[in-house]
Amino acid sequence: MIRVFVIILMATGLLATQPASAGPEKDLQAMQDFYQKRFPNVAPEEFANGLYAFDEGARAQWLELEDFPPYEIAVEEGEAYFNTPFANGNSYADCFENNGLSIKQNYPYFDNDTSKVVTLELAINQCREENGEQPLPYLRGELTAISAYMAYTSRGNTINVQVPNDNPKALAAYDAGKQFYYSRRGQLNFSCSSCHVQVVGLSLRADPISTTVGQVTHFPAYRTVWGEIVTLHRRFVECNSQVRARPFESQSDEYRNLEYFLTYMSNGFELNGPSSRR
Amino acid sequence: MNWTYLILLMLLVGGCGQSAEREYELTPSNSAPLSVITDELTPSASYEEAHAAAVMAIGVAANKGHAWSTSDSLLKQAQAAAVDGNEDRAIQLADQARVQGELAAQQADTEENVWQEKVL
Amino acid sequence: MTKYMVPILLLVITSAELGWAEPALSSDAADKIERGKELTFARGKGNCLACHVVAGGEMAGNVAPPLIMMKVRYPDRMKLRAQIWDASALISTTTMPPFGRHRILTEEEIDLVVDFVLTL
Repeated sequence: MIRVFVIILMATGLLATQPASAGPEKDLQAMQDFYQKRFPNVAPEEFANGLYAFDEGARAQWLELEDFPPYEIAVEEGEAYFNTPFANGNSYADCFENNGLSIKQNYPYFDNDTSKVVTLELAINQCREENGEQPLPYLRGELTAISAYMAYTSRGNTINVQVPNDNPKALAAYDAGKQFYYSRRGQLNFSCSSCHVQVVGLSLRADPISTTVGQVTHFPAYRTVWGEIVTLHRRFVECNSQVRARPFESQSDEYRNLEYFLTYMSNGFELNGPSSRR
Repeated sequence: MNWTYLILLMLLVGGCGQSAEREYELTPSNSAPLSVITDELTPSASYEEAHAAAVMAIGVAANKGHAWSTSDSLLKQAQAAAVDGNEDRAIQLADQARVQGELAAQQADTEENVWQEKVL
Repeated sequence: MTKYMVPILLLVITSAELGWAEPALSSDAADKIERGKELTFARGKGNCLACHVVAGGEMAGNVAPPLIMMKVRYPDRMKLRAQIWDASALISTTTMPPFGRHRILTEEEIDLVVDFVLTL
């Protein structure tokens, strides 16, 4: 009885202090404050290094791996693809600001014409289609390589995703991503936040769990367990599969909204992708 | 000590306790399971019936964005068993897929109400 | 890890005072415990090592308390079973999967896991 009482007090307390939508800026502040309090001895910029912010042994191995980066080939291939003109003579550079270089910090963005979130990968395929080319498959290969190259040219830039306060549709997309992050899914009943907020820094098997802030900075990422470089949405697919939920398609509305929320939670972090993870 | 004050306080605590109890009972995790235990399900009359019910239940969960991969694979196994002519097994698997579809939809409804409690 | 140390030490002291004695097992009971151990460790079943340290298991996580002194912590077998069946019934925000409610394990499998966990 007492325990029930305490639980309810806690629950109602949480509800009372939590309005329906606190707004992106407040969300970001609350998220950053939470991790800073949780890990007072970790420099905030370290959160961009995932589990390597917490595990010295793993960090040493990772730094060794980064001496001969396994994603380097993908970046070189991506550069070659990026610079190869389409059949109509145009190229990727014609589709983007600043010729497509050093721009990843502005993705994803909310597109008012389609009322949808546009990710960098989606924009790459839109560019192809506008120029009469077939879209590329999202999960692996050429598109991931192009994205890796574009990320590489954006290294060190500060993530600056916008959710305009006066745009209810953009806010709705952000809120949908936020709800996705906090909703339990799959037979195993985990939300993203179950692991990355509730038990962050503790280890599942041998791997410490990374923080929400700084989580997207290093994509596309080379995963040692996969032996290839992959997009953020492929990682979403893996997370959902691991909790035994039916994953969504890459670039589905669900994942685009999730990327919107999650990248906003890394606003202020420097891009450090592509990177490697075990 | 003012006795009126003390009695009021007790009533207040008691009242909170009461509402706390009710709220606790209302939490979906504590509500009665949707179906009885899978192992003890009354099997559907035919594979066709079991399959149709499973597809519908999984579809409801999927429309809420909460389908489970496990119910998908149970349904595939059921189809394979049916192709092999093992109707009893096919019915059993399809019924299990249906139960999981129902549980997944229940999860979606629950989360729709409680996800904000976890927001930082 | 340190956050578990105080309760663990307390448990160690308590159990030392109780002078825990291992009862002799029939071969049937020993067989059940062995099957329970397999289910506890199997990644596709209990996968308890993902979060809990369990004696005899490698590569354990530390998301949740080590499974030690279980008989002291759960003198009532049904309370342990209920915890595994649906931990969220007691604490709604728990990250422990509801092994029974979500049909991750069958009822029989849960009984076997309980048998094994109570030997820890």
